[in-house]
Amino acid sequence: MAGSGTAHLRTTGETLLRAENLVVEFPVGRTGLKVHAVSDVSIDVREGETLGLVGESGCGKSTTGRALMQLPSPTSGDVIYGGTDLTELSGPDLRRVRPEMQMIFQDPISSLNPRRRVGRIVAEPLRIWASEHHPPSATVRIAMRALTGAAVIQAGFFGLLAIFWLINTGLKSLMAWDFTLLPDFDNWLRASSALIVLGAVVFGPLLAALSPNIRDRVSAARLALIGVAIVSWLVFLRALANDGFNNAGTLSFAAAAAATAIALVMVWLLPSSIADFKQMVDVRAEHDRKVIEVLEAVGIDPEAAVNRRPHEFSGGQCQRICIARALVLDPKLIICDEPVSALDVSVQAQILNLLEDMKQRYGLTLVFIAHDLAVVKNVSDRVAVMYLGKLCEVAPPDDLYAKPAHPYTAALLSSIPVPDPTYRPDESTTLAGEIPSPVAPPSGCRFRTRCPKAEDMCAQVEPKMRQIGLGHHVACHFPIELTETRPSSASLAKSSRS
Amino acid sequence: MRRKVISGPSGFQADPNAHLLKVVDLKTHYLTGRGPVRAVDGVSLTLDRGKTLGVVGESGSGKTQLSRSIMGLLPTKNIVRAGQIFYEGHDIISYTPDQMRSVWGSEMSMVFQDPMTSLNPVIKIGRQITESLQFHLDMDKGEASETALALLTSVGIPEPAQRLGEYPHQLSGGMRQRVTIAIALACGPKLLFADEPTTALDVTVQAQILNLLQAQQKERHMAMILVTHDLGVVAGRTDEIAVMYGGKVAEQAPTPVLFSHMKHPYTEALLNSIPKIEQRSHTRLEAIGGRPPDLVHPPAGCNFSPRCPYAQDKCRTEDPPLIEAETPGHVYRCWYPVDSPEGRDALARNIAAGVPNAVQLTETPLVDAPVATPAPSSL
Repeated sequence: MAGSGTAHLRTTGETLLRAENLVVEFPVGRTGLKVHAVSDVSIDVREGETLGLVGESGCGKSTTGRALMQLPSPTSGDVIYGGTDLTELSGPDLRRVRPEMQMIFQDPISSLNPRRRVGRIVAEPLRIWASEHHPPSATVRIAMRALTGAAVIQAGFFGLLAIFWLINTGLKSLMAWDFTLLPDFDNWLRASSALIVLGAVVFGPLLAALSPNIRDRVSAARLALIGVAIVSWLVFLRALANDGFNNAGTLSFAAAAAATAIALVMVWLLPSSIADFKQMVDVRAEHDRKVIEVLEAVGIDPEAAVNRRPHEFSGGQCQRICIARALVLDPKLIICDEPVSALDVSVQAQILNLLEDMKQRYGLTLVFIAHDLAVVKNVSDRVAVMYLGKLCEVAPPDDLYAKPAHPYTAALLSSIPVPDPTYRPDESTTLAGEIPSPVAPPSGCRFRTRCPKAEDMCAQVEPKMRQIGLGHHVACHFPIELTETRPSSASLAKSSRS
Repeated sequence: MRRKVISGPSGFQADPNAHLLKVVDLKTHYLTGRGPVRAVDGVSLTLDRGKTLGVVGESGSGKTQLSRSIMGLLPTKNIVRAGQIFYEGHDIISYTPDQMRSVWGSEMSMVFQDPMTSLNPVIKIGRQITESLQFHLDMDKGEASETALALLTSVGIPEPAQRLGEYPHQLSGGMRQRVTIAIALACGPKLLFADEPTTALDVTVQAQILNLLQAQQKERHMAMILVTHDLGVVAGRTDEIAVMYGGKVAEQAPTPVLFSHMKHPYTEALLNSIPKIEQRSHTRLEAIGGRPPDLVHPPAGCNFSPRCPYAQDKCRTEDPPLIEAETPGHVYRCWYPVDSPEGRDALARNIAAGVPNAVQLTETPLVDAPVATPAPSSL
């Protein structure tokens, strides 16, 4: 099953996502050994198609999904999304592709922040991307950086100056035992400057440094500098009135002049920041509309939900919220990593139906990862079976079920619990043992250690993907022939009402 | 360290005429600020030696609470546990935890859902198995570890001698579940509770574990209560199935009867919501709309009525009692059972009236992907 080779990749038609020779390896401590999580996997997904990835735990299906998202980037191989190779992108270029690719995770409750309200959780991608969609102009960005720096430096400078001055006069007054020498700022000046210094000089730069939003940072820096300018001038005037134009007066004059210059620059920037603010308000209203739309689409009442926290919802509802969060940026591709494995059967059916509806409504392309072949078959247009980091078989789902060619696929099929008391699974295909260690995978075909059909050749030669039917590819030296298809399961007495 | 054994494994005078387990009108209510949570609300069942009972239901249907209530593994405060639990003819509901100590392990034991959290991560596997052997069967250390080795071999763990000295994190999920089964089987219980034993496991491993449980059960002539949310898991492996909904048994029947003559709409809905491998891909699943009932303020009448496609006015006002079907041992709680003249009428009326739960069943299946090749005739 080595599943190497790219024979199953389609050459005709538009593929939205195409991964070639994907390899993901993780180091094992400092031993020099590697976990071969994904070894030479190639898959492609057409626009509007659902690709199912199925296999046991540890077969690398989730790692493959994450490698497609570049979370982390694969060790080697290409991931071509809409004509660009994502593995060559990094930083802002990669970020720009991200909103088109979203993920839904297995455990809905742990993938939602328990301390945030649902409205904020769903709006978060929008908030993050708002600044990317409406970026501030280059001048604003440069000025913002310069001003933040200047504000911090000036606050420090002013503070030092004040301290030195106080020590100086304090010492003088102590030595002369004459406390009238102490600075005698008028009460109003002392109080107001203290307030302005505290409010603007301390909190301004602090806010500027801590606030995550670019716009908040600009306004905080601006506030700080205007405050610094005002206080500097007050100090300078006071010093001038007291002592004339001595050393301290010169220094405070310099500070006041610099602060004023910078404050003027900022006032010049003010109109653009007002425009920014207005835009921000518009964007927020738009975000709220979008959040309500997606929550309604996934069957959650927005009125009741936006102000509640995730623990107030059941597992199925949390999964709906996760789906809403993934949909909010209008992605093209959603990677669903075991989205229903943690849910009850009845809720599982609701979520699977919802995913189908969302796919139709938003024109999505899905990569659906799960270990339950019955679930994968229900949602997929094409199914890829994985084992120990390699692909075994790629086929349309109905084909895969009707005539599994790979012994592993047959084993997976026979292990699905069938809700029919008369059904007896075919013991010959039931898998014994467990998946081998991905640190030292078996030679040749990786499935040979558990394969009922393994022969000597399987240990030496790694089978390549080859076509055995329309869109049906298998990587096996001895695929199951059509004549020995698994016996049909007795049809259910009341399987479905038509 | 070792506490005195109050009564040994043979402390129970087995009454050959009595059922192994007989539960009569068991209630388990949690007292909360909002009011009593009726987790188990009047459940009666019987189980004979060597038989398997499947308990099926959604999350919150009370299936786990039922098994814990029978075993006495519940908190002692703010709880009302009423009814009768006859084990080998003895009513064990009033037993104190000290008295239950002689029942746990040697008479009845449990396999839990998540093998990682039910094993102690800092104690070696050998010690975890031998603990109950030394306590209940008064074995010395050597004897106990020999038995542990035999147990690990019997549950199909490769290199069992080496495993005895390992910690749980060194084993895979399937192997860990085998260890918890070995622990549960250690003192030869007559009744084994398996509470979602395979929900945390892969399908292939699930099949292995279920086969193992079945084989062990046959070998030891042990009764088993298999709790799960998946009707597929219990279909081929149980003698009888109890479908639970909102703390009550909605329907109970011998397994073949349940699948061929199901009466309760919930059983039918549960079965239909499973994606079936023989269905074509993109078949629309028949999900059960809505949510499980609030156990503090259950809906008036039948507690399934808000989600039921058959529901009529009667269902919303009168709680149906357990009704006996024509097949012996088959009971259900429904005024308009599936596939009965009244049931068909009720469904037709609801579809005509446009009740969403019922209309959903008539929606055309969503099949938009052409199947590349027709399925062979054998299917």
